[in-house]
Amino acid sequence: MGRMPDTRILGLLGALLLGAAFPAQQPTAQPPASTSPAKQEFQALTDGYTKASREFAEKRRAEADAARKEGKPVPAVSMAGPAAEWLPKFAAGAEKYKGTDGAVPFLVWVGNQSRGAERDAVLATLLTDHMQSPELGTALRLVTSQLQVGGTRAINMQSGQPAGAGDDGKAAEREALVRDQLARILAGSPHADVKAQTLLARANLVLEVRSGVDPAKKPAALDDVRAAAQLAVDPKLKAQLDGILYEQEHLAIGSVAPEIEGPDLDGVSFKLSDYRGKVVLLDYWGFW
Amino acid sequence: MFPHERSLVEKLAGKPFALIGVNSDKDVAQARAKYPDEKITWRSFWCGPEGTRGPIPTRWNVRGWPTMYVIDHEGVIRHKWVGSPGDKVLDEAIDVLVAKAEAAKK
Repeated sequence: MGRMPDTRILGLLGALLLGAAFPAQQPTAQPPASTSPAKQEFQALTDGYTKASREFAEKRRAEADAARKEGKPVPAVSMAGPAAEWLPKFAAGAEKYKGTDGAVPFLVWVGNQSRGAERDAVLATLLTDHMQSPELGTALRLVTSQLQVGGTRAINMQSGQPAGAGDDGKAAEREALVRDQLARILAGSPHADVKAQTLLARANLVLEVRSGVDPAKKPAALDDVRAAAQLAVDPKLKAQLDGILYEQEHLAIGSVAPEIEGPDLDGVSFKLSDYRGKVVLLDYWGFW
Repeated sequence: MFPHERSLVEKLAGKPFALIGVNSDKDVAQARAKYPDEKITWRSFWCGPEGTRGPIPTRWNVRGWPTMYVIDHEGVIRHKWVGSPGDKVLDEAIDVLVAKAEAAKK
C-alpha cells in the first residue's frame, strides 16, 4: 500500500491518456441490449466509479474554495481519486469471471491502476488466458505504459532526449519487453482489429515520442501503420489509421502543404495556394 | 491568442505574409458576427456545419485546437504546433521565413 498515491495518480492520468492516445480502442460498438452479465457488471462498476470520482473532485474543489474565501492556506488539489477504494471491487470482478473473456475489462482496469509486480501479474494473465479475446486491444495501453517510470515517459524531461546510459540501460530493457509483448499479441490474436491496434501501438513507440521522431525508425513505423490500415475492419479504427498515415506522409515538416479549397465565412470560395509566394500561418481556430 | 494574431497581421502588413484561419465554429453566422468586436481582419476557411469534424480538419488530421502550421513562400510546411508555441517562438519562426521570402523576390 506504500505506493498507493503513486498508483492513483497514474490511474487518473492513465484514464485521461487512454482517451487521448487510443480513442479507437474504446469498445467500438455499443453493447447490444442483451449484453453479457460480465459486461453489465463492469458497466455498473465503471458508472459508480465515475460518479465517485466526480464527487471526490467536487468535494476537493469546494474545500479549496472555502479555504480561499476564509483566507486560509489553499491545499494543493490532490490528483488522487477514489481509485484505491474501488480497486478491490474491480479485482473481485476479474476473479469472478476468471478464465473467461468477461474478465478482460476488469483486469485492464485493475492493471491500469497498478504498478510493479501487481501490474506485471495482470498483464501476464491477459497475455496467457485472454489472447483470443476480441477486446485485447484495450490492454495495449497497459503494455506500452511499462515505458513510463514514476508517472513520466522514460525520457529526460529537461532535455527532451530519450533516457540514455544515465538510465542504467533500463529504458532499452523496458522497450524490448514491450516490443516482445506486442509481438506475442500480433502472433497470438486471431482478431484483425486487435492486430491493427497492436501495430499502431508499436508504431506509436516511434511516432509519439516527445523528443521527436527518430528518422531511422520512421519507415518501419509507417509500415506498421500501413499494415494496420490494411487489416482494420472497424470503420472508426480504419479512419483513425488513414488519418495518421496521411498526416505522416503529406503533413510532415518539409512536405508541400496539401491544397485547401473552400468558402470563407462570407461564403466566398478561395484556395490556400492563392497565397503561394507568401509565408502563411495556417491557424485552426474557433470561438466555440 | 486573438490579440497576438492581430498584432502579427499589423506588424507584417505589406510583407509577404498572410494569416489564414480555418474556422471550426458550427454556426457560421454567429462566428461571422463576432468579427467586428474581435477585430478579425484575416480570412478563414469555414469547416462546415460539422465543425471540428468537418472535411478540412479531418483531412489535416487535426486532433487538437488550436493547431498551427507555418507554410513558407514555396508552399512547404516548415513548422507545426498543436496548441500555441508561445508568441516569441511563433514570431521568430515567421520572421525568418518572411526574410527568406523577401530575399527570393529580389
